[in-house]
Amino acid sequence: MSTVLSTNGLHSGYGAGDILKGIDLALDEGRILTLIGPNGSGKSTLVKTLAGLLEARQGDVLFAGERVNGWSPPRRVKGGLAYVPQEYNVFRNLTVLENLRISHEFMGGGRGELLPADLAALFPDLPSRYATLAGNLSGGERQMLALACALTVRPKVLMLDEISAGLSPLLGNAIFKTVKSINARGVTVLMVEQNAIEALGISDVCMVLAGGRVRFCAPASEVLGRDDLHSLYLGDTRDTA
Amino acid sequence: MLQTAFNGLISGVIMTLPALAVTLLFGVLKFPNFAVGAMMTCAAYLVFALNAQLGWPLSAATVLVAVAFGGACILLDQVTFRPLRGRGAITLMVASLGLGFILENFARFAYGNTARSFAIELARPFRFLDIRMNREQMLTFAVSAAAMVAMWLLLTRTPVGRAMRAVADNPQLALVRGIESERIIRWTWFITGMLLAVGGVLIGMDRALEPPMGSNYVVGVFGAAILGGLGSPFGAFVGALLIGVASELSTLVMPPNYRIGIPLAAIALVLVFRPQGLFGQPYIRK
Repeated sequence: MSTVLSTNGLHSGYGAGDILKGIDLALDEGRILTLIGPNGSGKSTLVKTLAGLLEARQGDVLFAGERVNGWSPPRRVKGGLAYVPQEYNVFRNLTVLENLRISHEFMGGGRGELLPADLAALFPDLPSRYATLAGNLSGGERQMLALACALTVRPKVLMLDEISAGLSPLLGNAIFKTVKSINARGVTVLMVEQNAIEALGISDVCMVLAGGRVRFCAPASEVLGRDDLHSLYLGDTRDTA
Repeated sequence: MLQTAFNGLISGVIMTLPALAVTLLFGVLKFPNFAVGAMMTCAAYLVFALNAQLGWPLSAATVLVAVAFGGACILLDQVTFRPLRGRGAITLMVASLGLGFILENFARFAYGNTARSFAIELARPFRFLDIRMNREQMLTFAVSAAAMVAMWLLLTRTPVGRAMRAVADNPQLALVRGIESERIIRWTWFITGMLLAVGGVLIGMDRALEPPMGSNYVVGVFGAAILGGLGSPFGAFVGALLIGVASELSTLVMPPNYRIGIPLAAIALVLVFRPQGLFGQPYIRK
């Protein structure tokens, strides 16, 4: 299985200091990798850097065999590296249809269908909401729309930053099921999650970040079975080696 | 009374295009461009050069200058505002004040302070429902209405228009949806330039051409854009009509030289009671 997205010694951050301090990551094609870790560990900073919203100060970002450090966010997304931010992930003043259309148009979809047929089947409720302003959708509907927008051109890798944040457990589970179905249709997934147990339940690999460094990386099923799982993402990483 | 209201409607219609330009630019770049007045003045003088000095028909001169001025605005942005992007709205606003000062005085150096007018045939006003109206007023109404419809079609029916609304809504999300924001900013300046050029010509037809002609409208234009809701094109249209009619009607009860107080009062009331304006969205700093 080939690696589709990787980093070597990645440093990034805001202002003067680095938040990421040498991240080595490797995401194999077809897998779901979940990033967990305490608040401030650099999870969101990492996906923002991978999406091109933050500059890599040191190290390499490699996507589909190419070094993409100098690529702008639009170039990355057109190359197949899609990203769904944690908040404000839909255009609230545009309708559902306009959100899908603009994603399709600018992510390189050409004149084809707004969503590939197999992926459109995962969002059966969206067509009935086409005329609704995205800002008037419920939290769950909004996350589904954000997912659908990122999928309009079938990305190679889908990066999700806390896609279940703020949702009820029921809706959160529905989102995770959808993510699993997206992955089953050939899209590699990188997730940042606070709902670690539910996320690891659908994941292949778990990576734990703390203090801007990778604490460890292991199969998700192995991490899920650990007694110290809660301490891993709440911040106690003393005995994880 | 009816005649005064009609005059106010025309004053409002004249302000719709610059108000739209202000709101469009604010939506995408999040700063108030106080150079709009001087930009309209410069564009109007360019049309004057082609029309009155070289003998071109006013319509052809306006179309050519609108396109050229759209391009000029892209250049002005690259030179003036682009190097300052990311430094906040206040910095850009101050830069726009400076740019306006330079452009207005550029027009003054070129043409002096003497009032001039376009080479258009004078036509006798006509009456309808006891309201006296002239050909220029009808033309102003038709051009503004056509420009509004064109803007609506652009913003809702074309990829560039949708992208402009997307960048205005959430610039960072726009980037990860594949939208090159600099390209959209160039489009925004181009359209802004065209709107201001046509707006300048409409003002020049209504009044005389003189260096402060555009600046005289700045308070009214900003009043209209703020009343309608900065960032809302439809709001700019409604705001301009309301400000125009209210300003004109105010002359029935107070001296005409105090009518500048109407847009100022509208700005003050909106900021106190409904900061997002009539049709704008509350602005949340993220």
